[in-house]
Amino acid sequence: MPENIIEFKNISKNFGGIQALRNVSFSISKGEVHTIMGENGAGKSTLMNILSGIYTPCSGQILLKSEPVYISTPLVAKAHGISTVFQELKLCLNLTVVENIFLGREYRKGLGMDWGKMTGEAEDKLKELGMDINVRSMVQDLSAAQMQLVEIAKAMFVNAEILILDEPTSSLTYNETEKLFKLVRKLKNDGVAIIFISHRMEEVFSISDRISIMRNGEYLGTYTKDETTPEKVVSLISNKKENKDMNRCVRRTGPASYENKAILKVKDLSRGKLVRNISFDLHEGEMLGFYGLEGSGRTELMETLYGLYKPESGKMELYGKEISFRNTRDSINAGIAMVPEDRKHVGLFMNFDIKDNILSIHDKDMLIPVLGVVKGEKLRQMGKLAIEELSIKANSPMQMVKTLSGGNQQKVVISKCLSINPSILIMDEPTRGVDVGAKKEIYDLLHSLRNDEKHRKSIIIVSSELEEVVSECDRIIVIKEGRIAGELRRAEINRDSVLQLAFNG
Amino acid sequence: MNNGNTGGNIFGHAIRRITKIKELGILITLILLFIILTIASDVFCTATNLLNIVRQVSLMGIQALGMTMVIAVAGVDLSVGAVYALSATSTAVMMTRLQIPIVLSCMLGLIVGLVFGLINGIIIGYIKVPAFIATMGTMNIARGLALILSNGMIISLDRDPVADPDNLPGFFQMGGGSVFGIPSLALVFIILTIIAYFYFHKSMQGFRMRAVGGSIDAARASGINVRRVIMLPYVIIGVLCSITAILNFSFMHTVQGTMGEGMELDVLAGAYIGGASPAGGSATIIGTVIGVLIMGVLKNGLVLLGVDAYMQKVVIGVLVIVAVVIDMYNNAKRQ
Repeated sequence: MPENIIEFKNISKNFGGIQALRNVSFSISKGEVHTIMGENGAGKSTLMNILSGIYTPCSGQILLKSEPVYISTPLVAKAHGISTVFQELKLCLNLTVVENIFLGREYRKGLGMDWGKMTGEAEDKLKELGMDINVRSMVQDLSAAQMQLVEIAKAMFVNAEILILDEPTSSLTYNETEKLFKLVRKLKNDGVAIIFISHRMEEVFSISDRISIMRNGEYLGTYTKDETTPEKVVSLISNKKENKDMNRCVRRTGPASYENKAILKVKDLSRGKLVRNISFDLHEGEMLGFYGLEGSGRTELMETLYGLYKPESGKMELYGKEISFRNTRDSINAGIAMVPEDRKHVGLFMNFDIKDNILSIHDKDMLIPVLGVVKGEKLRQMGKLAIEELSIKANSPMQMVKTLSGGNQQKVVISKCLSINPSILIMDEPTRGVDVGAKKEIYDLLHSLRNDEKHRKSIIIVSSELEEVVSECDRIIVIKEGRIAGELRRAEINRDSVLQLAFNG
Repeated sequence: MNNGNTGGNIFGHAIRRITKIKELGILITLILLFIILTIASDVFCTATNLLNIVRQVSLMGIQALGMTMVIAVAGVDLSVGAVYALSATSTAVMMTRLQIPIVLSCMLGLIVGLVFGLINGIIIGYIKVPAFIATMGTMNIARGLALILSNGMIISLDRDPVADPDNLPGFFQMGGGSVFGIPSLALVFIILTIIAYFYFHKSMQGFRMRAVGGSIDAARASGINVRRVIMLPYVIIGVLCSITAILNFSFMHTVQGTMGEGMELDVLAGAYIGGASPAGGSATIIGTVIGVLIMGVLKNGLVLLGVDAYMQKVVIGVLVIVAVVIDMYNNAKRQ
């Protein structure tokens, strides 16, 4: 009977009203690979952050080797033998492998440091772990896979008994993943407990001993690899049994928008690893949803469509004419506007007020001819109109956007995009960080825009919030690892069908 | 914030509007300085002295107008003094050694500033070399060329003959004359300030500069040609450098290869004191003008009070740091 090395007892955590974890209780054994799965926002990262001392739980207890512990800081976690290898690697690129491994724990010799000893130990450890890396090389010269191995070696140096691997394979090739898994199996045999966070089904089922599932901050259960299948796992994550009948959703009645004519045709669009041969059509008046797990390439696809980056290959056709965007000004002139994912840095100018944010997307249309001066009064009127039409809670168009709430800031970005009267509106995470009331207002607005008799707009929604996409769109394209995993229409759409494609497609 | 027309007391309304002016702090500082110096020295508030201040400030001020825009796009231009020297030296050499007519020499001199501005702008905006390093490079190049051209000698229009001496008086009027008692240098400064104000605060190009300084990513996503917008201020300040160079030549009648040494730091100080934030985005033309005036008044005042020239540097240095700290404090308070 494998002994429990970690036991979570009723762990709860909330962040100012948002319940991230709710009474989570389960245990992890020594010498096993234990994978935690769940969709975006299920609470996996929060739980791991608590285990590594970045957060402390609001209630509940953690037992390490049957002893209750209070992990108050990451240093305490390290002292308890818990090491984390994050997705964003925490290595100093401008230092060598040895220097990184011994960062903060260097061996002294007289007034200087004993690099000879450190280099020797580093070489031995890497050899022991089966890694073929020159310890004297600069980390920035290593491949992503090698950097990951170095991070694990660093953890093993401090005798980690618990190793958390957070999405370790997102930037690895198949062969590199195999090498990583070989190391993981060796460590497992040495008695290390390995917690694996990933949503890549094939890998999860290849490396895990047991799989625990979380949904909405709650723990659903633990299964051994043999007790379950990828489809069953997704069903649990999606809560298939309790699926409400989505066809009752008001927006699913009447003619399907995907039966209108196609105004945008994308064919074999590719850019790098995250946009691979994407082909789809956008129809007039459609609200097309794109869903994918983290790292699937949704934002990268939208950035390519909008002209922020040039595609490496592929074609786009707008209203029957072939187009290619050299920059965002081209796409704006063609009638495409985008509400970006990063509101604070890419969507808004925090140093400007509302009216100036709206002005930023405009060109000659806002200028007095010859003088080239901005039409101040027209701009103010535009600002006032935007505040009214979108119910932005602001005193005047001269109010600085940094004083607005998240929901109102998002409305400013939307009104900026709408002010050029686009025919296509791309919205990346349209309601992230937006309160419930504003969320509804935004969606009501979007639907009225696409149903407007005089000028039907077509809208692309990209979201990591499954509920949003499922209830607002009558067609959903699911993206997995840069490719289209599948497409779902109307009656086919429910949490489970979308997640099945996102995980297993 | 005021809610449109709230009617009521006009006086109260005016007070509220004035206190919201960003530049109020430094304006008060300037007024205080003025008052203190008038009390401390009988010579300060005389017509001659004030005219002197105005002349000194005008040249620096014109360049500071351009520097405001450079700082607004989160940049800096260290080559200002060197390009100034090179423009003046080239013009002088063309007029005297090469015997090119005065007007043509001036136009070619202006082109020197334009060319260096373009070089800076392209290296920084398109090739993405950090502004500090790029302009440090062009500073050395321009300074070297100025020294080579002048051959280590002073070129003087009072001594060296030109091709068309009949035009000389006209040339001297440009920088040395006055219109209705206002020195022409100051007049040029005032006119350029007005133009700069409208360009930077009211035109689309100026707006885009402030946008790029505020957030390069948001600017790119809004369809703004970021590279071109970053290049433009450097071209503008390059041209302004040559304008001031020719004006100074007209006023002093002489040039030398070492002129303008250290000028860039005074111009930067004026702009920073005026509230321009090195992070980009928050510069104003009015603020810069006040900042430049503060520097000019302070320097003049220190000389009148018999303060050592080196001590002046210390005072200016302290002033810049204090100004930036106050600016940071104000920004933090507004969060």
